[in-house]
Amino acid sequence: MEPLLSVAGLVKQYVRTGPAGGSRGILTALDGVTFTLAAGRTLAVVGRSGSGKSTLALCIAGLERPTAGSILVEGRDMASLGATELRALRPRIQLVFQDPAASLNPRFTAEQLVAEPLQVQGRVPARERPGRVRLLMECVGLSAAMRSRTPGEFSGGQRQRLAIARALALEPRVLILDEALSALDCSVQAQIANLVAELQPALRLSCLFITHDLRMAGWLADEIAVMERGRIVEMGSSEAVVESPQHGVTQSLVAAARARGAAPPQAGR
Amino acid sequence: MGSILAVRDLHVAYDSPTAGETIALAGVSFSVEAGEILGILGESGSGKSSLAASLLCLLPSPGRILGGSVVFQGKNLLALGEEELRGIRGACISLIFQEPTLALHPTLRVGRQVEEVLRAHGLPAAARRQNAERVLAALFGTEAARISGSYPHQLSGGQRQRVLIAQAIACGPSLLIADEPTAALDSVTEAEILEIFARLRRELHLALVLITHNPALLAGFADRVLVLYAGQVAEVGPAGAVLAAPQHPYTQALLRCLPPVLTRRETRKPLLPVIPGDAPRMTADAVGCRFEPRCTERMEQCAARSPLLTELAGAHSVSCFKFGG
Repeated sequence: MEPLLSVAGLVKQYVRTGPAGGSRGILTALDGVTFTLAAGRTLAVVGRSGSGKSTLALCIAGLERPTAGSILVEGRDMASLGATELRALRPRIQLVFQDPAASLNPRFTAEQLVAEPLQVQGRVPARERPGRVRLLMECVGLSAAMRSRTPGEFSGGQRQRLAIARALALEPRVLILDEALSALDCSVQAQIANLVAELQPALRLSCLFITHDLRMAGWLADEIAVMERGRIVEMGSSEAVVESPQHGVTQSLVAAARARGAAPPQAGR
Repeated sequence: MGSILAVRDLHVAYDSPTAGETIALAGVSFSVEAGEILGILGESGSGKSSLAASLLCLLPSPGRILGGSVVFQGKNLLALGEEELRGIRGACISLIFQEPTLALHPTLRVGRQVEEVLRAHGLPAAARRQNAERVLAALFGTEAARISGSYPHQLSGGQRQRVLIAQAIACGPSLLIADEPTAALDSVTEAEILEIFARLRRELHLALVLITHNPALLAGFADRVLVLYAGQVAEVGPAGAVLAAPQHPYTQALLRCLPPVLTRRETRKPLLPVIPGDAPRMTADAVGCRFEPRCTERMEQCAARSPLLTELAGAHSVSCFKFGG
């Protein structure tokens, strides 16, 4: 079966600018990244700060142009597409960021926020939009009564639900969660992780879960890719990566997760 | 060992012209022993950041301390004037914030910023330079000179957080209060910062109050853990007891939310356990246990009045009617 997303030899370089605006050399954020993601599966990309995880997310979402390499979505190379075709392809891949407070317009109501992508893409007629918005909000566990609230009137977890509803509005095939759980409380992380786990089979969604939290990566993902200095240095099933990490970076990430990992108590049940 | 800080019956509220008065802390009491690491565990809205700020009278407006005392070396800090407080902040008790990028001046070299703290406490120039070099060496070893001459943007998040720690310990305080000091860092850097705190405690006998929303951070690190829920102490005791055998229904539910480190996909449950509902917004007229609406073990008296903190055994106390209350 053809993978839904196929990334090969992906390179992204940035030109570093000096104080006077001149070039101070090249920063290689991605240095030959290759992987595939099948329909309905979850791949976690883990790594330390600065390892290139977020640049990878931006390239796949079509928000950054890769320097070299290819990104195939349903067999079509994003680099070869013109502006119109790219515009048609972009809704297939949606991105949810770490801080929903920063990624949602504070002056929009929940309803406007979820309706905006529908409006921009113009695929859903105006009279059908309120119904679609209600369905999307329900889908992420927000009641219709909350539709006229602004982001400031939601809790952190509810804002992240709203960001997911907005991402799902265009019926994507790939959902990229870029540290989307990292800023949330543990109990809220669990709620959002469950929401993703429940939505995935229902919507046949593939997920790219970008995080430095190996614990949550092991829980949510089928496979884990470990990044370091713009490369994937280790990749395998979640069990294999967590139980027998091979690369030094993976070992230090596993050690950090274990050292701080008191066994969740079963008392009281 | 004796207590170096004693907080008694602390009450804090925020006034809002639209939403009225919101209670952030409702009668919080605890003490910090010399050289101990006390973890304060609380989720968003539990009042943990209000607590950190109140301890040094740095509560931002419209926050108000309604009552209680914070006693340090025999003095109630809440009753001191601004002049006296300035002598205590940094010199006796230091505060470390979550976001090192915001806490550092972007256009000053970090060595100068460490010296600045010493200048504020009246050290002469030569001693300032010497002291700054000494604390930077303690945190950066042989790299200290290079770091000292760098600007914040040239450093990594972990390095910036170490500069903040250098500033915090420069005047030789006996207590550090750190509010989510590792929230902006990746998990490996986070472990490094925790190791630095552990070393400072060993070498300088510094006490640390570490405020966090992440229970995993405290396991194997804190000596004692205090669990804050909706502005009240739900449970407090030795870290081993609170984290491995929690007694308050909230602590139990919170710790169950953490995914296990090891996954066996064929045997595990499909979903993580969650705590139903949201944390409450507290008003002055609230009655009953604050966790009651979300508690799976609620009883009749829970909604009628608030349970008192009751000691079970070995300095492990819980505020829940299951244990008397």
